[in-house]
Amino acid sequence: MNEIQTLVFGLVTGSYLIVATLGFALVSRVDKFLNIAHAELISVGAFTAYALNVRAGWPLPLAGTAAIVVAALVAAAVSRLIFWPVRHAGAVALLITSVGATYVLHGTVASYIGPGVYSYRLGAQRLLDVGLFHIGVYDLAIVGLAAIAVLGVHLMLTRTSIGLQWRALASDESLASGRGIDARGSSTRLWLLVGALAGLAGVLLGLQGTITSDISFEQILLILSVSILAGLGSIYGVVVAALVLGVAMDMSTLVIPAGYREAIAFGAVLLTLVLRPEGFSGPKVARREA
Amino acid sequence: MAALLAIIAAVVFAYLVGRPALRLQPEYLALATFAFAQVLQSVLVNVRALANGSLGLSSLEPPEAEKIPFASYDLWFMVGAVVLLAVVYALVSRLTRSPFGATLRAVRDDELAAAAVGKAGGRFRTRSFLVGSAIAGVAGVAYASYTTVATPGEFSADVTFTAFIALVIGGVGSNVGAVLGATIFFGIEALLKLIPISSNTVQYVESARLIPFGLALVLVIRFAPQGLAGVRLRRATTGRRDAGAEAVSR
Repeated sequence: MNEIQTLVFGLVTGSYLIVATLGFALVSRVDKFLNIAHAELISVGAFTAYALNVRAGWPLPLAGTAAIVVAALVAAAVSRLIFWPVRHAGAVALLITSVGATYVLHGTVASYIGPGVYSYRLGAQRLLDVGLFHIGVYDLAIVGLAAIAVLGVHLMLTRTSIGLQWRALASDESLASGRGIDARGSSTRLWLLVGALAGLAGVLLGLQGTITSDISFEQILLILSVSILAGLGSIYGVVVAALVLGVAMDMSTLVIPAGYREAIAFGAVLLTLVLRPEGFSGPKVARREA
Repeated sequence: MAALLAIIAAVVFAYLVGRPALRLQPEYLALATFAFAQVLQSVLVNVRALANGSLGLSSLEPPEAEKIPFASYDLWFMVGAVVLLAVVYALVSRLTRSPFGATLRAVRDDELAAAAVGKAGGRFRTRSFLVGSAIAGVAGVAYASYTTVATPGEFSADVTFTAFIALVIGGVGSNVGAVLGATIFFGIEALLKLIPISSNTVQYVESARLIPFGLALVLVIRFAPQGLAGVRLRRATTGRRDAGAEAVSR
């Protein structure tokens, strides 16, 4: 019985990881770089919701929605001001730039919120008894919202014209611009989506427990882990990898001390990089040619 | 003696991590080393027997502590640190100007051509990785001797990012750049600490200090990707378009 309950916890963790990593995967696929600042966008979402919910007294659903909008706008601004001008500088330069953006965002959020441990103003979680296991209503919301997010992104990518533009840009930017696609506008809209996903992830993070201004560091490592496992640039692999990792992390607590929970994720990364760097479904880009 | 063992340990770890990881593309290598760092830190914290968990080891003996009067110890240590820097710098310069250094530059500029003359990139990448790790080991020994404690928390990715930023600002791929960048970085940090702030806003300002560094990084990459004293941008002969990436990525 304990195993099934832990499995359920793992699925909740995995659901959160899906939302957290989807935005990152989109950038890695379309703009082709690893945006280390993604976790800071999550932090922006988490703390905007906190500030509105706890310091300004808004009900959480409203605070959460506002947080998503704010994160989306911040992401679009960062992409236009910081990443767009150096988009041709190469993946490593963009990575370094994203580290700079991380510092700027982290400094801003942390100095505004202040050090400490925070949590949302929520009633205690009601538990639903589903026979073999229990699940809290907030956890259920996390899973539900993650499912909606995945469905939404899938529909956007496959059924809308903006999704088509993104896929074209991902495939070949100069060709796409040559055919009349407004690369800058499309990019900005992509980043609005990326920010919105990050904002949602931030709210989900706050739903799961307490948050501090340093959570972003932990999260980016988890996001990187999920991405490696999924295969960098693979959007759908993220769903599988996130769930697998979430379940692995939580179920490992049944066998080894809980302090190692995150280490499981990093251990999985090391294993993946050594055995199959392209992850579950990514293309074979990881090995050097020479 | 302990110092020597420490350096050897650093190199051994580097080899263990590097063996599989150096085969990968740069971003993956970075991720692999990050993952390793996190696992190591996790293990050190959780397995108390190794290094006393998150409290770390303490009461390490500062070198020659008995012979130097306490009040001026800091000053002597600083002199020692500068001497250490000079020695390491001299060794690294020697290495840079040697055939080994020339080969490293060749591999950086055009790996395919270097391989064509028999210098396999992978092997040299491994060697430079190990040398770098040995130097890092030296830094670790020096730092621990000064602070007399060694807690896992001190050596998080923060240190990596700091070195990263200092290097980018000072100039990638250049020894002078490394020293320059580190001096500028810590100089600015020290200056920022001098700004008087009231005690109840201290903790807010703490974090705000990160902002100028982030901005500096973004601006340097945008306007001067080779940093202040970095290598001139070179165009590789195998047809890669991004000169900026060329200098920065190696």
